[in-house]
Amino acid sequence: VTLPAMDMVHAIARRAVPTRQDAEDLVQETYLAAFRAWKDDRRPRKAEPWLATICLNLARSRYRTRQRRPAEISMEEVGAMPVASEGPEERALAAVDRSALERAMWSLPEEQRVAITLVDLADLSVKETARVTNAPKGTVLSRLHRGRRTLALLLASEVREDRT
Amino acid sequence: VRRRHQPELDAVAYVTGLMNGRERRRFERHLLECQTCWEEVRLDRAGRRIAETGRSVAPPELREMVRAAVAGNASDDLDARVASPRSRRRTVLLPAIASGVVVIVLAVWVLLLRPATEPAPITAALSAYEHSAVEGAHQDMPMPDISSIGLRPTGAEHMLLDDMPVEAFAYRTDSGSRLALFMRLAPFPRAVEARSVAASTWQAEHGGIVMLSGPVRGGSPAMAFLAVTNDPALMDDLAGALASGQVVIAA
Repeated sequence: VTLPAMDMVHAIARRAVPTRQDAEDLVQETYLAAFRAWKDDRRPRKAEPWLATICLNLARSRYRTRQRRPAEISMEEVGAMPVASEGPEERALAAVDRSALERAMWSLPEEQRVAITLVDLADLSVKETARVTNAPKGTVLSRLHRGRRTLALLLASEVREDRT
Repeated sequence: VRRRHQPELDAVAYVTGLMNGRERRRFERHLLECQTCWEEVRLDRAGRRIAETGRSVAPPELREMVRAAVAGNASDDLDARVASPRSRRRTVLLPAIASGVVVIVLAVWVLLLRPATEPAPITAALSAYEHSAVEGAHQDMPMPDISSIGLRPTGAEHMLLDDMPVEAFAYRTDSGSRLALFMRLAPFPRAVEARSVAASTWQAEHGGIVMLSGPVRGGSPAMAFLAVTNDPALMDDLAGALASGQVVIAA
């Protein structure tokens, strides 16, 4: 038995709360809340945006007051991350330091980090992201672009260095 | 009507694949002469690719922990509902019944919430249909004639569904229903909830859009088509016309 969309919920939780332990607690609370809602006949048409909404709402209500600090990344986790294996561009991107990426993500304003997480890591559409974050589609696109641009400016030097 | 120049929004819409065929072609022409938009596209694309390197899978031990927590929650709920057993026999049976019900509840929950992870080309075909992306006038092969069920051609393009090259044709009825038809030299991957309706032919539904895929007559023996529409009645008409021979999709 596989719990639905666990990789997606985990990806969101890792960028919604500052520590790995908080993220794992948040994942568990998300599924418990979803299960309770499901039993109460509050059932979504599509699981992913629903679970993302629950996860982000719980993160805001339960973890907002805690001190924010960059996410911790264990060596095992780094080892478990997928590594691109083809082409010079992929090899260059694979060389982007994982902890540098996470630090860069946490340096973004929350709205931009959430937009990138939902669209680029959780594979939600822009329309779904607009619904989940309760923001107009144009605002989501603007946040997405500014976040991506900042990541590129912060980390592109590592990519370029690897290419040479 | 002159469109507003919005380099940031145009760049992110372009990189994220939100533009339809006409918008994309117009923006690509604009990129050739606008350094600002070109720079925004370059940064957006680089940032997206960097962000995507952060993909990871949930640790297996977390999955087990969450599964156990949800199962425990379901069990507690059931215990509360059947509290105050009236006989020893019921008391003895309660844990077994509770465990069984928990398994069933979890299985149903997981089944209903199962994410619809369609093969990438199918997702791309659905997206192309939703965004009316088949708009060109380019044809590498004759456009199949399906006018006998009221569908007239509106566009033809050679395009990629994810990395899969296809010939794409767009049709519309007089009442406005749209249908996209994709053809390639090999069968299309089956949609998640595909059900076989004839030899090498399947139908599926995803988010209100219906699909029909089957073999193409003539040409390569493995050649196949994929029809996509949000009008189930139109798809029924097409399936019926194909079955009766009224419509033939041929290379």
